[in-house]
Amino acid sequence: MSMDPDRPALEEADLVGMAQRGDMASFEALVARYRDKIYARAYSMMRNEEEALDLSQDAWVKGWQKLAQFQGDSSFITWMTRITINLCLDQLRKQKRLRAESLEAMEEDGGRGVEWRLPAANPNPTAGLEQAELRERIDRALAQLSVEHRTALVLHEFEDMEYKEIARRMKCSIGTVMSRLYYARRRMASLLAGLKRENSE
Amino acid sequence: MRRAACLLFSAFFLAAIGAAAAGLKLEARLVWATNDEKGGPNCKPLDGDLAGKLHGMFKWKSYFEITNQLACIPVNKTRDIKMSAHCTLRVENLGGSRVEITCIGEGKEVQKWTDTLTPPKWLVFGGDCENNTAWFIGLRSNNPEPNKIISKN
Amino acid sequence: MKHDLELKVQAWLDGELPEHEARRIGQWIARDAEASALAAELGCVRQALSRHEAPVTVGESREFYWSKIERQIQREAAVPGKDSLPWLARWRKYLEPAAGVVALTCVILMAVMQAGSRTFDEISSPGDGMEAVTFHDQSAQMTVVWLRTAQNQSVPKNVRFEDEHGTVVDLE
Repeated sequence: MSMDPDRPALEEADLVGMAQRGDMASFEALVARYRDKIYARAYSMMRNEEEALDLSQDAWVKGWQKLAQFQGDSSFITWMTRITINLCLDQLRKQKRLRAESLEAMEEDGGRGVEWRLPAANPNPTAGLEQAELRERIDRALAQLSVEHRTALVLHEFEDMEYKEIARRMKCSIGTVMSRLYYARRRMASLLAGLKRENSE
Repeated sequence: MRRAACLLFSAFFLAAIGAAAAGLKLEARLVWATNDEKGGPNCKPLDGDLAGKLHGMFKWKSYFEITNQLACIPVNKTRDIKMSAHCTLRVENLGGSRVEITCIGEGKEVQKWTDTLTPPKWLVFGGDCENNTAWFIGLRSNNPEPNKIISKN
Repeated sequence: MKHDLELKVQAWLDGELPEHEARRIGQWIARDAEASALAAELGCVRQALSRHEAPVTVGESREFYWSKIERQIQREAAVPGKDSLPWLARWRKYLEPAAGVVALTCVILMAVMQAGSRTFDEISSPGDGMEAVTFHDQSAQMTVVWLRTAQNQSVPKNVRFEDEHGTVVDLE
């Protein structure tokens, strides 16, 4: 299907409206416009390119199927991102069921690291870093977090979700969300400071 | 007794469904056929049942494995499997052991093929190379054979 | 510092505390060096993450990415959705065991029927200037798709292909 050259110039509301009336070409334009953002969200949660690709495409399919339910209460990309997040959470839960170990029990015990028990030693773990370097380090540090901790962090920091909503989506208590966030942030501070030390040696 | 039999049937059925839901485990091998006894530095003699089958069907003297790739493809998903710098296989799992395979050479679609890959069957693509040699790409599903799941006792 | 106080510092930072408690905790953080350092560290991480998410892009072409989505939409449109059959949810606990037995019987029958059958195949679309010649070897359980260009119409000279009577067939 070839893209109508005029479609990229259309407003999002017009594209969504036409797609809701069954115009597949308008939906394709929305996919083209937002595919990187949706893929990026899936990748931040799954940390696997193939899985992120599959889940982002599943999200678009689901978005098409549920398009009639989009009322414009939020932006279209926010609505699509929520669909993506739910699919990623379902997939993570499925993967966790297939794993023998009880990750939740390990993490709630504080995990392997002890950074979170110590007083704050890195008030400014990102000082002196260029933007590009900081982005790269954040990405590497995120990859080192467990699934549960990374998910809580992504939902709070990248999606601006409140504790209550994170708890609902992750199907755990607010206390658990707070502990996971706390551990994840302390670990990130330690990792970012540690990466800075490594590079300066 | 009846309950035990029901549980047993359910277990084997769920195993079959689980295997299908888990995706297609695909093995892909790039092979070079020649009448020379020695291959190049990246060549190792082809082993396993594919070697026997190619020897049985074709009369080249030597078959060398260049690449051996494994991929797990969920149902209704597509994966690119890079066989060499110039050749990629695009494989879509259509479900029920059916696959659509697109051979892509130098970035262009060379051949599209739909088939059923039921183990232990091999699907082999081949073509001429220079100096009376040939290339082959052998594809096989490494999922458990359906008959073996059912008849396991 | 006790862990519940640490979590309170975090909640204060995230704006999750009720107003009166946020005021109280804020005043305590201003007075307490350890709490202040913790708030600074957590705040720094929060700020870094919210502003520096690594840009990630889809590695596939726009057309290919869309083609898979389009195909899946068309495939799922051909199957009736679960939501259109709400009564199924109530009856599922009775229907599933029965469906399992029926499905198992079908699988066994299909396995028996497939034992002697040929494999289905088709040529979908050869590339420009390409042709495909297919060889099936039932005993070896192998299908060979020989690709040749329009200029080179020969099949491999070395192929030894036999028909169902075992007679060697010359394909050239």
